[in-house]
Amino acid sequence: MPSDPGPTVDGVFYPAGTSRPLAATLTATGGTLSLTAGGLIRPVPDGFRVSERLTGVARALTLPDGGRFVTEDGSGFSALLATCGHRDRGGLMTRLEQRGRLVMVLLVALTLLLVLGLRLMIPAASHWLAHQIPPAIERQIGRGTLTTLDHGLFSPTTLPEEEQRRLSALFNRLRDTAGLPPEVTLEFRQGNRLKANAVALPGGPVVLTDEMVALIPQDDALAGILAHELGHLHARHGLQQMIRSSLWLVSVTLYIGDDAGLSDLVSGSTLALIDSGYSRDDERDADTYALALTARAGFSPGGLADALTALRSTCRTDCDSGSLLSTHPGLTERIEQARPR
Amino acid sequence: MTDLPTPPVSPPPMAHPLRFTGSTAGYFRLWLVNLLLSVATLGVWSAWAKVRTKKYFYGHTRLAGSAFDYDTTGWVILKGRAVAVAVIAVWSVLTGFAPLAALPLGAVVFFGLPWIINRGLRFNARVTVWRNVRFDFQGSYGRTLLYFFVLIIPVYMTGLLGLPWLQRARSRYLTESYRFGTAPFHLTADLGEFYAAYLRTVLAGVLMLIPAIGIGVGLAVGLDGSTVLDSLNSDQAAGVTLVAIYAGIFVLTATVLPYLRAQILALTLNGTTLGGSATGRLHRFSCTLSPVRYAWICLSNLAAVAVSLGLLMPWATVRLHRYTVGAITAHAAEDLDGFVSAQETASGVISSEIMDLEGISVAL
Repeated sequence: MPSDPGPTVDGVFYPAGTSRPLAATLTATGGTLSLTAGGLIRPVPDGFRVSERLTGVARALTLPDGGRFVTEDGSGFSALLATCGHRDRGGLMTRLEQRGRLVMVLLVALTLLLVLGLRLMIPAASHWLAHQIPPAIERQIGRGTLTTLDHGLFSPTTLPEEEQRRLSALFNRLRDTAGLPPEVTLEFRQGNRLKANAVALPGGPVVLTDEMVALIPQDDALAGILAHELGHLHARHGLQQMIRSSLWLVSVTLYIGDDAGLSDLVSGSTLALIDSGYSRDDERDADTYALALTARAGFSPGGLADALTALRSTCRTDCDSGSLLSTHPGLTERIEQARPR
Repeated sequence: MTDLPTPPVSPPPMAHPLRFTGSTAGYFRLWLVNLLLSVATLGVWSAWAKVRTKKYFYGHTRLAGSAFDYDTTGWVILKGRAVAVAVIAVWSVLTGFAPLAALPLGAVVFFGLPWIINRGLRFNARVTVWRNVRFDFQGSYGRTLLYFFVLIIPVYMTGLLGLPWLQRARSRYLTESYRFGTAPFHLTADLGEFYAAYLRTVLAGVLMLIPAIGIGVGLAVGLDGSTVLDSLNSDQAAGVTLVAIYAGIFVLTATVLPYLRAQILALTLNGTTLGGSATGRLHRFSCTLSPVRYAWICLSNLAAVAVSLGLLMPWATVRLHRYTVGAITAHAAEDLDGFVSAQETASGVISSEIMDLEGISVAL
């Protein structure tokens, strides 16, 4: 006869695969478990499974034959398992769940750390990746983008052929001075919604809108704009920005992806906010590059500043804000920087 | 204990309301710890997080004093998820880089999905336990293909007039494919009531459309920082209109779809019986879900989650679950002791995870 009956837990026992409850008691005697149910005492054989601990949820012990003991006495069950040296699954989680404030602080700290880490890593990774992509593929991406823009945004140019040839020659002079390959060409389009603008597409075509040509008739000023775009191409900014935004998108959705459509709500604006800082840096770099390039190609040094001043005159609001979300720095700031001194 | 064996006298039908015993605070703590560990482990913990979340909701959902259980482990889910991610990745790469293969690959998806859906539903059913008896799903490949894929085409050709009919066919097929242990479910539902549910939904949608667009315009104008549309230039006005249309569609789907879902759930549960008793009498179910209240809860949940940047997610989840569970009652024809599990193992976790990751939800 076992002399000292150990701790017990009351519950219900369901024989294998049935819904018929039998009043039952689980006992730990001298480190071994036994189950009393339906007037029968049986030892609990090795290989039983214990359900994990969750606040307020009944605990279950499943025997190897499929019989299941269920108890509402969670703390008694945990204590009983401990006397037999069994690890209580979910115990750590349950304890963490009681320390809400600590968890909250850790969560905020970890998130900040991750965002900072990504802010350092993603631009570096994009820079590296952008320079691994062969120029032929980059050009293909740029051509693809142009086709898309032609369908949705641009319409064919109305500039006379002669004017186009003249501007292309000016562009080629800049391009050759910059040492960029002859595949980099100038394209003319009507900008419509983009108005007076110039766009450097990855790997090649620089698109100049008719509206820009109309706004800035002086060659020196136009050369400043085109050199700025060549600066983007030289540093592969377009490609880097594409890679950067997809890396951010992937990281963000990986984290908040599986819970509801929250990522859709948050990601768009957050990503724009995170990325706008880099785009503003890109613009400053391109301006600096343009100043050096126009000087080397023999254009007047005030060209870029004149062009930016002309652009500012068409601008209605928000030209100087250089707000958190805008992709370009404020125009006044850029004009200051571009003034020859 | 509450559930002692009852004397074997045939009692009158007894109503067992489903109860949810969890709390917002309890689930919030669990959710927060899960979030922390998922972030800290670069997402690996999310498999265990899923199990603990499911266990919390199942374990706090009680029928006749006994809780349900979600009986699997984080390891099983993690392995399933890993394979599912690999399958989806290979799939995306193939469709992205080999556009020529799109047609044959589309055929593979079309004919492979029913199989994946069946296995996924079966896994989810078999890990669901009540009183040591497991649920099961025994849908057939052919009927899943028919009801969820093939019949969509003729239904579109009728200008969606056949949609309520298809919905009833799906509800009946799914219900009757489920088992509790060896006991089969059966669905008797009047086709007219399904048509009535869809008609009410369309009317509600039309009624909602007007204020929804109004709210959308208001929101868009408010967000833009100005109050008068005239002061905007044509580009901005176009943007405002676009945002307004999106907001209108959003509010519409966020209320009208739950409104329909609640009606279908109620119709299905009210017509469902469960066999398997020794005397051949049937257990039945009732559901008193108010579709309007359900839709309101869904919409206000969405707003609360968006405004709180996700922090109110646990509150919203508990709120919806508590309301739904509280509206369901099981009417037992006799005591609930006579169910017997079929001896089956729960395979198909990969399919279940593919459905999870791809957002395929096939539910009553």
